[in-house]
Amino acid sequence: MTDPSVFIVDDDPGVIEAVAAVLSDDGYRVSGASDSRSALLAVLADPPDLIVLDVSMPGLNGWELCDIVRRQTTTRDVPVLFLTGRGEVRDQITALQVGGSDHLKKPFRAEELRGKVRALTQNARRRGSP
Amino acid sequence: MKSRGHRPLRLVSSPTRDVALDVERLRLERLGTDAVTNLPLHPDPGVGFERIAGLGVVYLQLGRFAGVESLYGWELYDRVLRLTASSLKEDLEISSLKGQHLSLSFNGCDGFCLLFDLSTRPAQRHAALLEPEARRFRQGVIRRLRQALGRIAVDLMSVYVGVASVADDPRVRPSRNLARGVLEAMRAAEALQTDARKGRVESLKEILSRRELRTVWQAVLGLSDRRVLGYEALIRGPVGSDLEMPDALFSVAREGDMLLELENLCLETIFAALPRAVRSSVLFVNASARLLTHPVFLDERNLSEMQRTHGNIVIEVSEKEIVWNYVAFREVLERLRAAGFRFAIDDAGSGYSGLETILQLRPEYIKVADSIVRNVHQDAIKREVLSSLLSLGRQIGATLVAEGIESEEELRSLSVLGLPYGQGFLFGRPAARISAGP
Repeated sequence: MTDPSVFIVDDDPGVIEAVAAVLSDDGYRVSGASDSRSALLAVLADPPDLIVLDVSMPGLNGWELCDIVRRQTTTRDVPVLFLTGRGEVRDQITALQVGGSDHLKKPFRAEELRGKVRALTQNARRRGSP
Repeated sequence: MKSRGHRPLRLVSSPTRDVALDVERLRLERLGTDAVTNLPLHPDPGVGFERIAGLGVVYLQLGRFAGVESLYGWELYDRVLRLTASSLKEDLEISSLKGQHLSLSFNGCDGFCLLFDLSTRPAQRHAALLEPEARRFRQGVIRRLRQALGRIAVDLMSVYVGVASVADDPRVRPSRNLARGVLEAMRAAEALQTDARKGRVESLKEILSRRELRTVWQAVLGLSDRRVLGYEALIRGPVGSDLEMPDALFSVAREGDMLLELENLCLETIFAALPRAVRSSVLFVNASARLLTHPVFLDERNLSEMQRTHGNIVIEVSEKEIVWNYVAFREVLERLRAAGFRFAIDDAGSGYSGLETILQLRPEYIKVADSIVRNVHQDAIKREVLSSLLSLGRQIGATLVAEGIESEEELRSLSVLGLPYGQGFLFGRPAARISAGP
């Protein structure tokens, strides 16, 4: 079984690097994009095992991106972890409504990120296996 | 997973013109399709500009179901819509008009539209062909919703169908002919809905004049020791009637502009007969912001009368209401606090207001909406919402109560999170009498 792949989307390249540093140490195959539109097409072309997604981004925000991902047959079941500075209950509900799987507030602790990513990629594997 | 050393990060290149165009296309697709039902948002026969000599329209309207969303939340209404869409698709497969079916669309809110090509059938037969099929579609939807959602759906059930047929006319643009047909079928469905509404309002008037309400009690328990903290008073209409459940009563009262009358009678009914067990514990009663700000309710004699009957009352106000009545509400709250009442924010986490509102009102209790409790063990975001509410509760010294607990898994998950109190069917159905144990 190949290592799970994670795609990180954040308009701040610093955040991508920080998340990537934690996850690649754990053996995940990580890729990312700081432009949400390029990210969307990359994810649709080659669906990852998990998307880590910022909410506030210019052009196409994380919620829209998630909504589009949920509508495509190839990416319908890819779990999405929202990584955002917005912590209001209202925003968490929006994350649920567009089909998000979990939510992590910035700034985040590496341990918390690890735990959530592990849980989401394992769930997806279990669902995927017969 | 074991550490396997640092791996390179692969970065996707910056956007090009093609990327922008592709994303625009995906966005447009999104605009044309409903996310929940996956149905097109516009009725389109899908025949290009070919003319259809006789177009049949069946319009199915989920009457008061729009109200279900503000009562039970978007998740339940999502389910209603998915069930309705799949019911229509299944029944289309066995419909006598299957061969004539052109398209199924959804208006994005509460209406489904089916188009048929009836060109091969004589125009005077169109209504006779469409009406029995429309009735079958309606019955199918009602049956499946009842099966899946049970009682709550039955009480609020109202599904209406209308039909129309339009003949092609070379002087009229087909697109407008189509739109007229859809509108005509929709109006036919709406006319039925209006008649039904009048009937419902009449039966509520009768219930109010005969004072046919009763109270049932639901215990609020400590999740670790199952000790009773208090009881929530819940209102029921006549047994077996369409207006037995409070949501049905209140939605009809809203239609008939009788909310205050209904609420007054609710309070009178509750306070008229408090069981012994309730008298010695916390009494949770629901009230709308509208009632609480009403001069008759705020009258000193009324308030002290309530306090005399029960000295430990917590008034539950729904989060949905406070948003709209914020400033006026805060003043009233202070007056009622001075009179000895405490408060609970009901339906917290249902997404109507931010934490800020709850923070400002400083309720003694925060009651977490059952939509957040439902399957909380399977949903990380819901646990996240609960954590936010818990930390808010700690900040303002409010006690959390989880509503609508139905399964052991939910209970376990809530206990792990540290919810102190809860209520729900898991601990027993609301009952008119209170037995010794929970």
